[in-house]
Amino acid sequence: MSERKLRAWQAAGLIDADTASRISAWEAAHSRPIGVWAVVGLGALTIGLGLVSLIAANWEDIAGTTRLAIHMLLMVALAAGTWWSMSRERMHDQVQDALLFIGAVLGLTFFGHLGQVYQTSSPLWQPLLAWMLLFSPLLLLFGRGWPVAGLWMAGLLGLMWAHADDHGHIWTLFGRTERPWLCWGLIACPPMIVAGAAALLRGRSSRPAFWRLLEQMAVATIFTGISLAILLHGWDGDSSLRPGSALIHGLALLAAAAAIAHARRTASGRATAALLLVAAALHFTQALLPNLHGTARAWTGSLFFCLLWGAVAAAAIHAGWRRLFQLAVTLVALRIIILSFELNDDLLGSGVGLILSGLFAMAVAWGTIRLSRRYAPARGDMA
Amino acid sequence: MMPRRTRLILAAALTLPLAALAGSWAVTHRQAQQGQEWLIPIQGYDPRDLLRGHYVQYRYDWPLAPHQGEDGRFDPSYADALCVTGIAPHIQAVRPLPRTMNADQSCAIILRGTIGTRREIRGLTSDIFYASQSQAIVLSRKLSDPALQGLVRVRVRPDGMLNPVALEFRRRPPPQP
Repeated sequence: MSERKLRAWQAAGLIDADTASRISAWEAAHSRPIGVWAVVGLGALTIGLGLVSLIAANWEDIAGTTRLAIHMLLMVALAAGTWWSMSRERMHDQVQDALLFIGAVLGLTFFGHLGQVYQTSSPLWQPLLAWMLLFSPLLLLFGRGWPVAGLWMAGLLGLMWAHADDHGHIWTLFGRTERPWLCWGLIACPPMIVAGAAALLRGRSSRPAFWRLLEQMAVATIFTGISLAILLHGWDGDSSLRPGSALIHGLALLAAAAAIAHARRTASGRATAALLLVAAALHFTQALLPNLHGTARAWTGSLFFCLLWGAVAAAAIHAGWRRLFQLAVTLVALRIIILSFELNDDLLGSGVGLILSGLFAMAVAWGTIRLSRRYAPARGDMA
Repeated sequence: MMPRRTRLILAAALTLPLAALAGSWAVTHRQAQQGQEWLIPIQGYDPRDLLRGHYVQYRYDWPLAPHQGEDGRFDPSYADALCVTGIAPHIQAVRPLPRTMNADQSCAIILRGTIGTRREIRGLTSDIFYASQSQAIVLSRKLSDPALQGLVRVRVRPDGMLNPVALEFRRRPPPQP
């Protein structure tokens, strides 16, 4: 805290002399020697980089088992350090998260390292699944911030993606072109399960911020996934979803909505649960639609997209999510602009269509800004 | 100080991945020491630079038994298993083994394609060999040299799965006039 600021506040009559001296005393007692720590940190970083460079320069000459032993020793040392400092609760939350993050990444790379040394290979989802099983207890029970929550969520999404990719490939290998609906239905469910479970744990855990982050990440994943499914359905009829898969997704969304509504009886909880219900209804209805072509497909595709994000905007007003409201309104506007270009496809060459589409895009942009200014919730409200 | 129960959970959560990874290493190491070594002719090159490291991709160039080559219908990519004749590590010829036939006295060893592995590894058709960046470039250059015959030294596990050990090169005999 700068003394200059304190004097300025005192001069402006915001605080009295007594408060100013008490703030100064408190800041002096709680100040951290940032300069010293920065130099120590820089020194440690330099030594670390030097060691890494030494090993990297001689990497090819080091025997495979020795390299693996170095990797394993690093993990053991990190685990011991993590246990020692965490059990004494002497660590800042961010440092603790950084240690867990580094440990988990070292664990993940060990699988790749093992494969390189022993020339063994496996589909990507297998080491990812093993990593999730081995590191989830550590990350979920002791994680505190976004690095750990983000890493865990990225691992889960990577696992889902790698498995779906591999599964799709195996089915084509056996000459089966029809997608197994049960597999595609179940494979997309983990984010729904995480959203519901995180909401339930949020109220009971001593780390509600961590579970809140995971819930937000899972819900964001769900809405990104459903938006992509709607967009792809609108642009490419072949990517249509099978009703069986969409029904499984819908049921998982209902379960997540029920869990969130039960766990969080606030405006934000109600709005999230309602949005998941809307997403389930739209997703399932779209899978039931027959394969449309041309203008009909463009209209229905954009209608579903606008309904989804229109619902998000309405929920954002109810729950007071300012940023999300602005994002939803922008996405709806963009989709409408894209629709106008899609419908004017045959006129684009003539120039008239281009002018009309351009004018329409400007009108939509103007309307969006007006709408956003008039209805956006006030700053400072968060989910 | 953390409560005793939480400290125990933390210790368990930290030990679980370490123990499992160490166990996985031990099992992989033991498996890598087992089996018989064979030399299989290979062709093709395809150095890759992926996150998982540099590797050279190759295709097996199976020496076919005479009557298999004549009709030209044998494609090892459709074979579940291959019967190898010869004396380790030198393969004389291979022929596909029907699924129902497990043991055959005339086979020196039976090779089986790995199912459910990475896309670059297709049964008994192709495989990959991890190498350092500089090594991968040298290997791929040698593999593309028509004067050299590439061979992969594999260790065949008791279940018939192949594990590459090294890439070797032999000068091809000059073409007959």
